[in-house]
Amino acid sequence: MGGFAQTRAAALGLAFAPAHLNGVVENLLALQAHVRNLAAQGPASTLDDAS
Amino acid sequence: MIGQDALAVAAAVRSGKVRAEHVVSQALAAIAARNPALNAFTLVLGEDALAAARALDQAVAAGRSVGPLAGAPFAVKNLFDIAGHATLAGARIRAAAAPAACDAALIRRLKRAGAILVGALNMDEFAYGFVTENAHYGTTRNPHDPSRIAGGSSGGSAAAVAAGLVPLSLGSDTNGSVRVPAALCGVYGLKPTAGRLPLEGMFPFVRTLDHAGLFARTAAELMLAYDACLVSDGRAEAVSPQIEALAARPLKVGVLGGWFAQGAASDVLAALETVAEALAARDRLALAGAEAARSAAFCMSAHEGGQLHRAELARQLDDFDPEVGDRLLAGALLPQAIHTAAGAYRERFRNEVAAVFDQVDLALAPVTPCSAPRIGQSTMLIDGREVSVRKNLGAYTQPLSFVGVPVLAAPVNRPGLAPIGVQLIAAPGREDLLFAAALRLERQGVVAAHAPGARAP
Repeated sequence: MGGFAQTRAAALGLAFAPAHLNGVVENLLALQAHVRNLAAQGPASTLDDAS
Repeated sequence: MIGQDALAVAAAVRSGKVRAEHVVSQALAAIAARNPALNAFTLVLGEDALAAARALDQAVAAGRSVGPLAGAPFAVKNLFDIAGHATLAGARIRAAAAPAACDAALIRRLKRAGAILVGALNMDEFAYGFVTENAHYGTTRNPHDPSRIAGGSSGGSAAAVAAGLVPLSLGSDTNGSVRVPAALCGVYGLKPTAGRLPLEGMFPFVRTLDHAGLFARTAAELMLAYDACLVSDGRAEAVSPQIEALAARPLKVGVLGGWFAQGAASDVLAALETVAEALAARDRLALAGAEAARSAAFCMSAHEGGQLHRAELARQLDDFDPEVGDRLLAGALLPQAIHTAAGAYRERFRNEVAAVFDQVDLALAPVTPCSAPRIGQSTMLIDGREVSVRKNLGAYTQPLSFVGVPVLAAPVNRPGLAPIGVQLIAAPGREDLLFAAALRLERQGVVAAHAPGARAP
């Protein structure tokens, strides 16, 4: 997830310092669980679609 | 006088028995004495409030009409524009923002009803959280137990009312930010139907989900303030004129099951059962899509919140509250397609919720899974799983604001015990049913706001 976060952030012009990596990853993991819940309801994107 | 409610204050001021200046002076003195320990206020409008009170007293003396909230002090979450002051929205990066040109629409409406604005209140940065542990402006403490959080994101609004510093306050509720702190501080909180109250002059969090809301210590005060916030545009009718007839009418009430019945602490479930029994609510109502709705609201908030602050996140991430900045940045990384999927699911879930209100007038659910966690407590247990406090106190509120139904958080009558709230939920536009039920429960002694320090009988 760390690699995804850094690559995606750089692509969006949101590159961040290493000190934020753990916090961003922790929040992405929480989001990933909710994205999966949503995807289970029908066609939905996933975080992987963005990479 | 401050210990009395807004209705008593207004009646006394209108009749000339008490001067509004005296009421406001008392409120300012109480804030000066108690706010340093509570940290609910981030701005106190001493001279402006006293000047407004003197003007009101002059109007009373001249025999002019002064409104139903005459002289009642109120305060607002610091994301509401206050003319002449920067709108902080809980953020240090907003401290140097240009002063607001005019008051937010709801402040103007309450002032028109005679209420006196005395200050602005603490919140989670950019309204993203349920704790009001703000890295820049400090933690707002729960008036019932200062070692515990007030909840959020409108924590200052709930704490100021619970502590008796003001009888009324304004907050905002995107995912539960009125209902959660109302429940944890033991006061009433109203999140009206989406779009019913204007958002003009409020700093946004998630425009798709943002609502304005109110706090009070009694159902009657909450109702009067809500009516004062409505504008006579033919779409929204004032609630109070017909409320007594409605309060006497039997209501068909059910309790939401499934997601709303999972994970709550035993005292929360017992409090809910007390309210359910009082309203003769025996049926369990299915709302199978609630968990997915909560997830959709979670994703929608993250994405929109992240996009809203994208420029600042790129430029000055280190100036955010660390707990909020990283969260917003993660949201900004979500693909747009996830937001689109969440929006599509919202329409499906709206239909499911509408079917519930084909069966009942009113539905009940807990507000939070537990009573107020301790300050600094980062995780809590839900169904044996350790989860983030900041992200999960709104687990039962998020599915409901997602589809914009009106909800009133009512404090269950538990003197001497940690406050716990129950959500009274109605179909869109039926705030009248919420107030009818709240008044009935209050008269039965089932719900009540207690002064901090109240002991069990």
